[in-house]
Amino acid sequence: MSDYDVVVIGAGNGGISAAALLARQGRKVLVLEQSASIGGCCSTFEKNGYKFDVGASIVEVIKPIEMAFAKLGTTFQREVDLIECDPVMTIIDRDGSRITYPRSIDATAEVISSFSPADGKRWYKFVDLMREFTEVALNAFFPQPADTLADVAKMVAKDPRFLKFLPLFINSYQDIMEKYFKDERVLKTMGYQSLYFGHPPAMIPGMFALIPYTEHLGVYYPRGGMIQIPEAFRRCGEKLGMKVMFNTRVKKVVVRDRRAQGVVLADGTEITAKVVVSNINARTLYLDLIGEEHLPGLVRTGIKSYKYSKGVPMIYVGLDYSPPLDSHHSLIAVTPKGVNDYWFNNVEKGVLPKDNFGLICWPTHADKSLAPEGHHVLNLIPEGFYRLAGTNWDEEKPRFVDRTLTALEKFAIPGLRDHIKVLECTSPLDFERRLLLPEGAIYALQQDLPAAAVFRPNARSRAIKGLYLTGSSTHPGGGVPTTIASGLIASNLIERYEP
Amino acid sequence: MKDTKAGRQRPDVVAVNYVPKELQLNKAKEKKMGKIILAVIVVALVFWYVCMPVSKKRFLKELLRQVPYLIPRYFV
Repeated sequence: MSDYDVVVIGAGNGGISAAALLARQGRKVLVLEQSASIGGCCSTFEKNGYKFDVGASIVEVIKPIEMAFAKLGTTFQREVDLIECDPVMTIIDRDGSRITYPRSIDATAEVISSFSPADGKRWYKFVDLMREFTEVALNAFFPQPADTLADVAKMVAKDPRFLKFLPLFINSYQDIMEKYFKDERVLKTMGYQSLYFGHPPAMIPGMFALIPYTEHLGVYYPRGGMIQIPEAFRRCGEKLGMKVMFNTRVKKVVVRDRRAQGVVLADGTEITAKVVVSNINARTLYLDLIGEEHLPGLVRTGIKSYKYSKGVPMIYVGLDYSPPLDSHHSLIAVTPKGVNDYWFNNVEKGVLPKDNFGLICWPTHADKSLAPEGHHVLNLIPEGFYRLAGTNWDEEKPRFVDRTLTALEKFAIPGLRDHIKVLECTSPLDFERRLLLPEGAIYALQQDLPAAAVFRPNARSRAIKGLYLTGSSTHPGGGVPTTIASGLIASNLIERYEP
Repeated sequence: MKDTKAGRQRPDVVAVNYVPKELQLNKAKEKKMGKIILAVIVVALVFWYVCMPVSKKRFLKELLRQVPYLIPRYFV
């Protein structure tokens, strides 16, 4: 007799959504979280009256989340107060010029046409392609398991239009962008987004070029901070008897006869369960928590072959003024080629760039309740990475923060430094220490084509029976809606295979 | 038919592999053509690769680098 039907390791979005959905199936579920809060990267913390989002800054492509809440007998919108962000983003160039894209497709075409009429026309062609591809992806790709070739065949059977989009898988993000847009000013507004998937435009498949389109389907911010999304799953799960234990670290997954039978905590306590769900990095799971001795040779080779995804530094700023920005999200303009150069000359060599770029998130633009009255919050995501040549993040952090704030003050946020009331920075090394993300990898593993779908660790482990994976490590990869889709997939698989 | 030492039989008449001279010439021509076609394909591939933008080369190189891991990854 097991202590629980299901033990879930990690209360990130994938873990907490799977746990709630499994509780809905009538199972006795325990979630073990090593930190004091749920959500992982999709979380919010408070300092001196300012609320900052740990990592994730908005949510878009919300269909998988709606599907998960529908299975829980409720709706996303009922559980979380979503504020729509319109305009969707502003792109700020180093000369101070700005381009703002509204949500409307037509209004965006007008903006693009104002400096490149030809690209304005091509924007509609790009939208037509991505509209259909997004429909196919949301219908057949994101919420379906992709463990085997049979699963892929089922995806194609579910929506045969999938085959029509094969060129999007064998061309790069950059190929797609440069096919549709020729004007450098337009390309400068669509280069950075490839890093949302952890790779530069030259290195990821063209399917990810859907992002500059999906932003126009709606970008939302949950009132109260990004933590409201995992909190909503927690609320739903707890109503159904799900239990969450905080500050509880798992040391080992108990495996007997190639079957997961529970976990051992850091204090030595053993908790038995019929099924174990892991929401942690798959490399950590298989190599540390399970151990190579339980893995067949092919699995050992496979799991070791994955690289970690990129890590990022975050700078959290509490301000006593309203920053002169235009949108919830502002990007520093950079062409696809510029992002590639950064990747090959900086990331791969471990040298932080002099002229950095990145994302400025202004959550109090949408939700004033995150800061004291008249005050504001900025979450800055300047580009950075885990491995630094000749130094480390503990040494580099103060210089990096100073350099970033000085640069942003010059061309993006005048007066920034004079109005800072709270300043915090979480480096990739801090993410590794606090959230136990190896190398600060926010998307767990690389997210390129050879590590996607059937080539990403399976949601239902083949090596260990009774073991299921959720989160960024498994299909469909890192991101808020995608990790929740992984929770949905794991709960469906458990319903089918673990009666 | 005669009996051999090993007890097997061998035919009295041995077929001679005769190929007319014209056909032999055609075969040589075919071989030459095959080599030319192969060379053209190789040159075209090299030309295609050389003309390819650096970003595309990186994309393909990275895909090829990971090909040996695809089968192991399928089983993870």
